[in-house]
Amino acid sequence: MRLLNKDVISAFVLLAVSVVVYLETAGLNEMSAVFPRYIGLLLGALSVIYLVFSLLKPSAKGLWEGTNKGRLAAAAAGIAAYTGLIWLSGFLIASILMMFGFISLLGGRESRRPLRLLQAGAIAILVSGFFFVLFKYVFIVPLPAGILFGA
Amino acid sequence: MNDYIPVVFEVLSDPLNLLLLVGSLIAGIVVGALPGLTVTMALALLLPFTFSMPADTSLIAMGGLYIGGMFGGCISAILINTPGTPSAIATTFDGYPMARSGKSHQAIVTAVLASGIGGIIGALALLFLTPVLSSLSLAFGPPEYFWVAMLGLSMIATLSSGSMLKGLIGGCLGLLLGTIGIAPIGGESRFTFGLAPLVAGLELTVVLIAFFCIPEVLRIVENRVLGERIVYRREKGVVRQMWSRLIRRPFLLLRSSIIGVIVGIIPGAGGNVASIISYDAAVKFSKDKQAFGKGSYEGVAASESANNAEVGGSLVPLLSLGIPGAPPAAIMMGALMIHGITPGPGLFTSQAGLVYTFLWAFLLANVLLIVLGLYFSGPIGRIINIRMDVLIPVIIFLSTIGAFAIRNNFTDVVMMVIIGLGAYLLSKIGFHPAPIVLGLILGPIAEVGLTQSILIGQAKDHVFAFFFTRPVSVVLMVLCALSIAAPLADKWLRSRRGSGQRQGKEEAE
Repeated sequence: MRLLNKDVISAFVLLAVSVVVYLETAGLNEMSAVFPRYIGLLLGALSVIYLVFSLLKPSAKGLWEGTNKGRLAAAAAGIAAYTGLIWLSGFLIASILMMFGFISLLGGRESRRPLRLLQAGAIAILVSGFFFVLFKYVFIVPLPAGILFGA
Repeated sequence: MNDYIPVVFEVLSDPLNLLLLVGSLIAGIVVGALPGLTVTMALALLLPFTFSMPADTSLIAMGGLYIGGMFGGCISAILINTPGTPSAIATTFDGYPMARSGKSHQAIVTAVLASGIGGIIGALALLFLTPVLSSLSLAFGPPEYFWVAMLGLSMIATLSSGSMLKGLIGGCLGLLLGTIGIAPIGGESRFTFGLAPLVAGLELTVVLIAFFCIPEVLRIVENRVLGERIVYRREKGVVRQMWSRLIRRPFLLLRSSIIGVIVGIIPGAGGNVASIISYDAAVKFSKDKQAFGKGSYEGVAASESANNAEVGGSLVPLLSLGIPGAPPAAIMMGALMIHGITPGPGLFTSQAGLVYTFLWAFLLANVLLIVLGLYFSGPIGRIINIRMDVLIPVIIFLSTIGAFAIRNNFTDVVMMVIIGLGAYLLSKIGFHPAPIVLGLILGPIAEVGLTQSILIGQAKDHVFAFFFTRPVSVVLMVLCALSIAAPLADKWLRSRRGSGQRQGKEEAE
């Protein structure tokens, strides 16, 4: 049985968080510090109990057990890249690219046929375009234009 | 009130006002169904358009938008497990499992009927009980607010579907997330680590989107259920079936609506708190507790009737005391002030015709909500009824646009992605989002209550007595203790019953 499992690591991380809370509130005035300090102490106490339970009765299931790690990493990276792309090229272009990319990648091999790719492109343009117009011109939300376009 | 009935009838029979009421209700439903777009934001966007309208017309339009928006949040909560508005958090607990098991139409119809009934009860409370209920909220001081928040937090015991310890830790994490930024009383910035965007604190809607959308997207991807789709198909006889089920549970709807009204009256606590407290009460009073969280229509009804009744409740302190009970009520206060009307104790005497017109329009809007909700939830549901490989990028897209549109701030989008990925990791370890979000919502209320109580207690030279001996505080403390003890006692009784049954079987063998 592994001693260093996901729960033990989590308990140590939570303990570290409670220490950070305590140290961060040390220099504050009483009224700013009292609430987070109490919560930090409570978190510390609960983390110790969590640690003891995790050591006495470790979880048998691994963190990534039964997970398609490749696809998960690709989706997480896709979301992060979309954020970067908005900053770079603006909301509309980034959204069209993200939607097209996700639909064609997540749909499997079949989605890479020309007709399906065309369908994915049409969905990406229509959905992104509709909401872009709705938010920008009806709700008057100044959506990011991207640094490439001078915004 | 009878003196004003002709005025009320004249305004409400005006075709333009009726058209505006219907239009604003539909617009509210659409806005509420879009994750990230809040009712407050929609009302704020409507505000400039009301400048040129008469005061009664503008109030009718805003009331319709408020009611429609509050209901609309349940559509995305049920169909894509993403609360369209924070008030629909508790609707996801059972609405989405219902939808996943092919009962999306039942879930939506339950939500429509419960919202309508809750809204009507809220409107009746607003109409008839305003003076009585407003005196109740006047009895609340800082210690009571603190204990109300504690009562809300004690629901972690019910919401912790897995480990209660992890639920409590999650609650602490939520409370700490709520302390990021400037301290409400002390005034110093906390946990900002030199990052300017954190000084204003975390935007609640951004965090809600992060906790409820991003982990869900990643869960769908990792479980390879991309072919799965929530089928929204109208079924014959569902309206009658759900209606007869609901009227056989009058106490469920009445209790949830009363909770919604009371929470609405307390300034600061919104529809999200109402729906969570009501859901918790429904679990505690139900004979079939195990069904909750797995697709119980009672869970959907409890949450939806409470959050729509809360709308009426939140307007009670606005109309009677001039204190908005919730952010949307604050926008409505702005609309009144634009027309030179100051809400408060004198409003019922100086503008009685306007007030009663609004109150009756509010009641009418809730009746219309049932009709419009039943009709329009279908088309909106069908828009969301698409393949998962198409729905995933749409959810990411709507989440991003929603996170951005709250404050027109790109940092919120970055924050949503970071918190969302963190929330996914936490859920993999076993920390569910509900207790964390509950801590985040109630944390600021608890902190203000605690610090103000300490200050007042120190000034009076008896902090302890100020905190623990006020009658309303004592009642709230007892409720807290009962709220924590009830699920523990239930668990203990069930384990005893289980071991008793096992022992009986062994003896029989």
